[in-house]
Amino acid sequence: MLEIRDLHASVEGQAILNGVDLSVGPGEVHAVMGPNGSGKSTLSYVLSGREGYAVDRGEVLYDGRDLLELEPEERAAAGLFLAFQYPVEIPGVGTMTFLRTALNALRRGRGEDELDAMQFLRVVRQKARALGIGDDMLKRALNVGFSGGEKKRNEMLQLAILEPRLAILDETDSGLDIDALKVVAEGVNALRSPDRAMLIITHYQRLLDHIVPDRVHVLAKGRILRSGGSELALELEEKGYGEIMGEAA
Amino acid sequence: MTPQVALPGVEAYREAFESIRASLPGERGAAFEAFAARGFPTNRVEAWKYTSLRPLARQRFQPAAPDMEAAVPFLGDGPRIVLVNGFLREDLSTVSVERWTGPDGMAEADGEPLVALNAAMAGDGYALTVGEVRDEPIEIVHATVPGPAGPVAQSRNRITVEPGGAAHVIERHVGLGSGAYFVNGVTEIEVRDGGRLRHTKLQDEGADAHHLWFVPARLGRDAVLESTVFTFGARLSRNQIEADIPGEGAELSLRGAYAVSGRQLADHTSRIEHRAPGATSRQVYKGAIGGQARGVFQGHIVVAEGAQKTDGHQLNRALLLSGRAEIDAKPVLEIYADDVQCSHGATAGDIDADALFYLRSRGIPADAARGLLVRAFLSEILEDTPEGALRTAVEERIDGFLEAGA
Repeated sequence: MLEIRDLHASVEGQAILNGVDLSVGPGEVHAVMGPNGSGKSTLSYVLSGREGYAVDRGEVLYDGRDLLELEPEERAAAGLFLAFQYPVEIPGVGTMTFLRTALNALRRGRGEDELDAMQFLRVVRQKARALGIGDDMLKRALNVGFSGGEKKRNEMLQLAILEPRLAILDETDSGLDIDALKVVAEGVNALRSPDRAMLIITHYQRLLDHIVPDRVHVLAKGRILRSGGSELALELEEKGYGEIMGEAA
Repeated sequence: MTPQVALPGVEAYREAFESIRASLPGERGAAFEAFAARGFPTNRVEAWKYTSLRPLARQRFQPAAPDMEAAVPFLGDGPRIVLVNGFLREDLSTVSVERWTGPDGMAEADGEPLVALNAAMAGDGYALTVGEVRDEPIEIVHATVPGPAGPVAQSRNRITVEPGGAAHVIERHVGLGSGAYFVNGVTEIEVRDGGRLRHTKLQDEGADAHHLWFVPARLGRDAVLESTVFTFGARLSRNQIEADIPGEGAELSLRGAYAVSGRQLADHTSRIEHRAPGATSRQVYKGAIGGQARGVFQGHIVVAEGAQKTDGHQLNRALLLSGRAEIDAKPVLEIYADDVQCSHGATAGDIDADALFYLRSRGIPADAARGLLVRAFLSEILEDTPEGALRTAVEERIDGFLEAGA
């Protein structure tokens, strides 16, 4: 489903990714772990099409298509979703207006009918309840005045509503207490399905206790230094990144 | 006194003035000479530094004709007052008001040459007095019919709210058809002790219009004036409010939202003079500026000696939607009292790139995402406008602005 081949990317002339190779198949959950500054967030932004990230070499194929030539909204229409590490506060845009605009844009793109206000409300209420999101939160402007945990839960709500085929979760566990982490993990697990892939980007192993990945990759200095099964996450937790990076050097 | 060198615009207007002088109520010679002595202000005049009237001064306008046939659109079926070409039209109005009968108001002594020109040439206007609490908004339409002679419409109007009175007055400015015209109007506002006025202006003049409107306001003790201006139309427009606050505990709110593109210029100028203790003033102006358009904001707050506990704040924010859009902002605080809270703030910038990316990453196309963000930016000014015809009209104008690809 996702094929990253020899990806080199830079920000303002500074090389961040130095040849990433990664392959994710349908239904698979992969974790990308790495220390701060290893290029984890750059990888998620390059995949989702944020401006300011230059791809210097390599390619990314999504269902065999060149992902990198698509605009961010075209990537979303093709089924890609990025759960932001720092969800953006947008004063003046109501959370519900935003969710409905986004869902209907995707439905139009898929040739489906747009949902009317009542149908939409039913969908949102049901999915929000499962994530412990109350109506008061939905009535506010998008992410404005949300706590860190509320912002992350709002990302998960969008994930649940937009039903992407490839979800990238960038540091979704940061800012969550243990109860919120469980709620979020349950939400993510409920979305696991044979045709949906996930890429979980995280610094810590604790999220992976709850969302058990099929594969774990260690990203450091802009490259995948090691890959393994879910047990690699535990090994990292125990030994730290230093040892693994040392081994590979 | 006739200057040696003709000042911009003066001779053409002298001719026009003489042609209607006999038909005007009151004696206007002194007012015209007050204009003629200065002419149209140039950029060398500090208050007009950013807004050039040079093209306007060169254009020739004929005094607008009264009694024009006009199909005036209304927002709703509520009470209304209609002026066409600056003339009060009782046949189209449903609220009976007095007519303005000649120079005697607060704006007379003012130093603005264009206000003097209005004082010299205004032929008509309404005088609305609110003595009770009026629940239904009163819609006042200033319609101008463009013509081959490029009419100049000048009306002189007054709203007075008596103690115990409260009202919402909506002033709409529209052009009926395409073509150039010039509107140079005045609405005096007096809110007496304990009165309350909501004043909403929707400026939706034609694309080739020039619109200059001067609003001298006075607030009595504990009076409340909430003024909101929405500016969309006209090639060049200036909304100038000069609020005098001699009343203790008065509350003044000035808010503005504008969306301009092409080669439009939208100028919002205010001067607030706090002369009594314990009054508050709040100003928030927000503009979306596209194309090669320009926004101008000049906000001047004066706190006189003795006006202790004054609470005065102003904020001006502009969204520049193109590389050639421009905002000129000049805040001035002039404070002669020592126990006051005053501030000003200004921001200008492009649409927030992070917000735009966030929306696009959710599948919202770039244009729609920009539209959502522009609407969101302006929505703060609209938030206290209840659902209804006025709000719909403003939202439609914002939609039109976005669809035109500002």
